[in-house]
Amino acid sequence: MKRAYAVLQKDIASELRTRYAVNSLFMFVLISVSIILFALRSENVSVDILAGLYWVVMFFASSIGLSRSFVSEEERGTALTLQLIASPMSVYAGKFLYNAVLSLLLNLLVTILYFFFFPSFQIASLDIFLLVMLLGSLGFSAASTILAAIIAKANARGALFPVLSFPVMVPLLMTIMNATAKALEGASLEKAAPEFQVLISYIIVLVGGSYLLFDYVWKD
Amino acid sequence: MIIRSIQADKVSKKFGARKIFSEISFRVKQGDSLSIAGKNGSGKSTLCKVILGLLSPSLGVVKYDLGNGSVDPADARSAVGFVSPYFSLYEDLTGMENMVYLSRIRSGEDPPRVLLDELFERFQIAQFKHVPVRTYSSGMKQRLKYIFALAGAPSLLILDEPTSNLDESGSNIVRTACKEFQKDGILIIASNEAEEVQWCSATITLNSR
Repeated sequence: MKRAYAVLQKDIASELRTRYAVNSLFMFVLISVSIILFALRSENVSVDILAGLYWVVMFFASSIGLSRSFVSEEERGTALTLQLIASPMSVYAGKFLYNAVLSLLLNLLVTILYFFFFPSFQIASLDIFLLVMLLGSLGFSAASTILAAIIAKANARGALFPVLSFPVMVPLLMTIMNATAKALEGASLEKAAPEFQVLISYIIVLVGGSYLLFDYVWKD
Repeated sequence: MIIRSIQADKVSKKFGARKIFSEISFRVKQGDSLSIAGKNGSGKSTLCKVILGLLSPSLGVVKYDLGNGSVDPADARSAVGFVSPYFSLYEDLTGMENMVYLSRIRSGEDPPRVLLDELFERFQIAQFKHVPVRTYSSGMKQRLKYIFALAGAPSLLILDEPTSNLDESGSNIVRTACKEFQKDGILIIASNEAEEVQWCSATITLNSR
């Protein structure tokens, strides 16, 4: 775990130095939310649509930011360095944690912008919303990390990630949209229990599958 | 973890139908050194990666003897130092940050600062250790790779093109470091420079196919 934490530290230090992902994600989220705002104007949209639009921004932002985790190592020629010094599991765990942190920060940014721009975005059940944010971020990270590792070896990296990630993330997206709508409607925590069960199962299955698969993906 | 010897037994490597090398066998023990010679494209770098366990051999086996049993190369990487043109360091981070983060990833521990400072002095880039690596010349980057390789106190050092990008002073530092390392470590050098090949006590030559 110490080594995975070191991979996370290295990625954060490198990102803070270049701000490549942070800057491009911030701009992408800001522009996407602005476009949604222009499109909706002062229309009073339902919580289902608001919840859907919230996660649409998150999905495409993750395509830009989270997919970079392994591609950047290949582009910089540092993938071999990591293969040489770290066990595949330390690399996977470190990248998973990094993507989870990035995804949580993205969630936070989108939430703040939604609060600011959409008066109808009122969180009636904070407990559900916080849990959806946490589990949604972990789900995004679980799916993105293994997919990013797979596409990093391919040539058409940019185009591959959204194509591959959409079918993998459909169950995640549908569940978090439902749960977010429930948080906006003010449902009780018990009413959102089925969604949380699906989300936890999704994360366990993807992390477990990635654990078994990553060694083969990572090694040439 | 100390690697007592390396044994390669009839190791072959193919990429698809293309045979790179076949039936390479050798044994190198502590205090010995081996050079891998051959022309461009003869598979020297590929053999280095196979010895490191970064590539699996198509046939044959490579084992490291730790004294209390043999292990696959992938299980003893923390005891190996590797310098190659094919691996890079993080250009956005400073030389010292690279050494600290990569050592933490390698062993889970912070590297001894005294050793790092000594290595930066020895490879004559101490004044640049807090400068981003992207500002380094190619020779300085090669020196930094040596610092990283030696900072882990390896018992096996694998050098692929050991003096590439180095000026005369850098080459001399590397030669001296290799001589010192050979006393109780295992040194493997892959090179097509006749002089570098002679640094080692034994040589295998790969033929281009």
